[in-house]
Amino acid sequence: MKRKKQAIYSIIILSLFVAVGPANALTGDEVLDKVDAVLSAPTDGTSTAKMTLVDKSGNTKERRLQLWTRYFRDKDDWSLTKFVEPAEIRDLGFLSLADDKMYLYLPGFDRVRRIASHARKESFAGSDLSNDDLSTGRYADHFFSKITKETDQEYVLELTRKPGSNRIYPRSIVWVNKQNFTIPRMDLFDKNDKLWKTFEGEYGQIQGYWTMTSLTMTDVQKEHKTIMKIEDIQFDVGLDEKTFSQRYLKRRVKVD
Amino acid sequence: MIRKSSFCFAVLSFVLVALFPVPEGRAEPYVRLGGTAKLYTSVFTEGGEGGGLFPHDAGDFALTRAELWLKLNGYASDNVSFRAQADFIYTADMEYDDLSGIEAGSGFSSEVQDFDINFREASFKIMDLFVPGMDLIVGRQRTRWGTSDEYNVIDNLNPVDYANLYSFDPDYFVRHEPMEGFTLEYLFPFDFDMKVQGVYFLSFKPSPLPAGFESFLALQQKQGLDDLTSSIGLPPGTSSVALENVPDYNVENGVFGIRLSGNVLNFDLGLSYFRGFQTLPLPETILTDLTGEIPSIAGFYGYPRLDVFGFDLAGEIYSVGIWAEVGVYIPEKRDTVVLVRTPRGDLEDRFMLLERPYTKFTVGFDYTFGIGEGLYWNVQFNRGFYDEFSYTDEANEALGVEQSGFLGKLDDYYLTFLEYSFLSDTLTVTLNFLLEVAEYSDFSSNNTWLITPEVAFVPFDGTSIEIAYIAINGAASTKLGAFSDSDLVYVLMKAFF
Repeated sequence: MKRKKQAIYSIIILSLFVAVGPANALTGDEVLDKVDAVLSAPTDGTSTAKMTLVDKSGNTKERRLQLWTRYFRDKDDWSLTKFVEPAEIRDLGFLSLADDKMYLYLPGFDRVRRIASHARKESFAGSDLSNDDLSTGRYADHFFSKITKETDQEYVLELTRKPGSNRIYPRSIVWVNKQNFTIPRMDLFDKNDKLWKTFEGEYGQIQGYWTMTSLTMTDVQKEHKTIMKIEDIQFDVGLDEKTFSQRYLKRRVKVD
Repeated sequence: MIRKSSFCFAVLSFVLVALFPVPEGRAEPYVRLGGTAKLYTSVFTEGGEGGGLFPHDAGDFALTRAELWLKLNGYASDNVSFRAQADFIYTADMEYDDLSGIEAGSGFSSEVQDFDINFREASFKIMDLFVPGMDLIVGRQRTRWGTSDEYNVIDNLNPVDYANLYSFDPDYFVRHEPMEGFTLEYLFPFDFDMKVQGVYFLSFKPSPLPAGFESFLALQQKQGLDDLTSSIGLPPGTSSVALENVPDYNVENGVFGIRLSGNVLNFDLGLSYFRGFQTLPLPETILTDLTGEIPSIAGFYGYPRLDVFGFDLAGEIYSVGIWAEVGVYIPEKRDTVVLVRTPRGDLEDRFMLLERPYTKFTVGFDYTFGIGEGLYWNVQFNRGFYDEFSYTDEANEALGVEQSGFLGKLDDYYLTFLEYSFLSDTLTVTLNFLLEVAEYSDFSSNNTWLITPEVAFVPFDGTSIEIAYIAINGAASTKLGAFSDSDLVYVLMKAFF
């Protein structure tokens, strides 16, 4: 009888361990899936952004943008970015679709150019963000993830690029907030595994969605940083899918 | 006549907009005025004939031009947008040979106050006109076709501006002139990458020609005449050039095009058809008169019909961007007559200048190397430039047209450039290299290369300064080689607002 009771206790303890243990101990890939789920939670969104470029002497340049995004849970998101300021790049547009389809609208020539994925390496309008940073897509599709550290507040992941992916960062260290699965910080490494850029993000909850309200991308090798404040954020506005076409890429922006 | 037609076009546009229901837009009307102030100046670094068009000495200014581009655009509603551009251009004249040139003309202008206004664009666009996805653009416009970088062999709707081709001002490189008309586009609802576009421009418009072109043609004719007269002991003669068979400004002579484009297997593809005219004057009759005291030669030039079937492609293979364009040019079969009047009677030679369809094409690729902020590399091959033709053997025999040069035969062009930006796009350095090959069999005496190092600097937002050196070297028999003695440096400064 005693043995039977011990066996029952053992089963209960074991089942508790099985039920509770793995649920708390997410794998790196599972954490990344949750990050992707937070990023792609809305159906679509619009926003404006002010980008400030700061060089190592403290000199600044500003760019203003308008952004439209369509989120997907099973494929890369679509985004349309149009420049409002400064005047020399006003109306310049960047359209990023799934399957690495990217288009650039050059208002001076009134032409749309298909750009290949090699352009991911290029700086986005002189900022510390590359086209790769601006193009949206599920992290889990492009990176393997391993938890390297876990605290009460956050997971620290090491992401390594999957074979065949054309993302420009071979390795990155990513801090993930355990409460809301947002990314407050990332260290991005170059192909020689030297620290290239650091990313810091601030988040707020808008219409029930956790979303980035500002970011700072610092190129530690160039000692140059870009601060981007994201404003006028609206989600689930019912954007027509045709918004993410060359037709809208060519449309002139409205300047306040 | 032109005023009457413009008036009719305005009325027609108005009626079209008034008759058809425009989907109600939500936005408030919005207007934006912007533009660019610009100074371009270039200086020859060596002296020469400039291809017979621009004789000069080292140190001469090649071209100095101050421009103000005013751009107005906005929205009448969410669905109706408009855009207009007026260019105010002052060109500093280089030579004042007589007093009449610097006297006031019928208005205010003279060579001293050499001022032009170019109305580059005035159009409006109605989105979702009859059904969702259908857009109509009405007015003076530029409709660009093709997916290639820089040079598009299927881009024939708007005539090329040859007047500025040799200015080496990058803003005018293969610039096309705006046309008045309609562009109707429809995005298919099942796939919004797929689009059909129909274009109708009201009538034929010729390409603007480089300064001195008429004299150049007359001189070429005269050389032919002098060769003939000296061989038979006659004195040197006179030469003249005139236009004939210029298409009338009527509905029948409109320019039409249709293009179907879409995305297949992640490649952007397009099929197109263009029906219009050659926009460069081609010889129709060459009349040599040896019956008078002074021999004469008169060339009559016209603009035959042209049809072009096009195919274009853009995409990527292993992250490398690629593009290709093919244009199958189908010329109108029209006789050219070479008539020589002699005291013993007329000698007539009749042949077709252009007969068989011929192909122009361009292929290229680009790649960004992960060096620093990204080293961009672009490579292209072009077969046949806009002003080149595939002449018949008979035409070559009679007129010697199967040569390289402006209005010459199809040449090959190999173009590559490297571009690197520093300091967050504050400084961009570009190195361009172009090789023109007129004939492979005797390569060394039938090629020309052009090297252009460029530096572009953005001292503050809203400004740019570009300095470039254009070095040309090669056979005088090629199109670019004729400018081997015309190396130049240019400075291009802009302010944007």
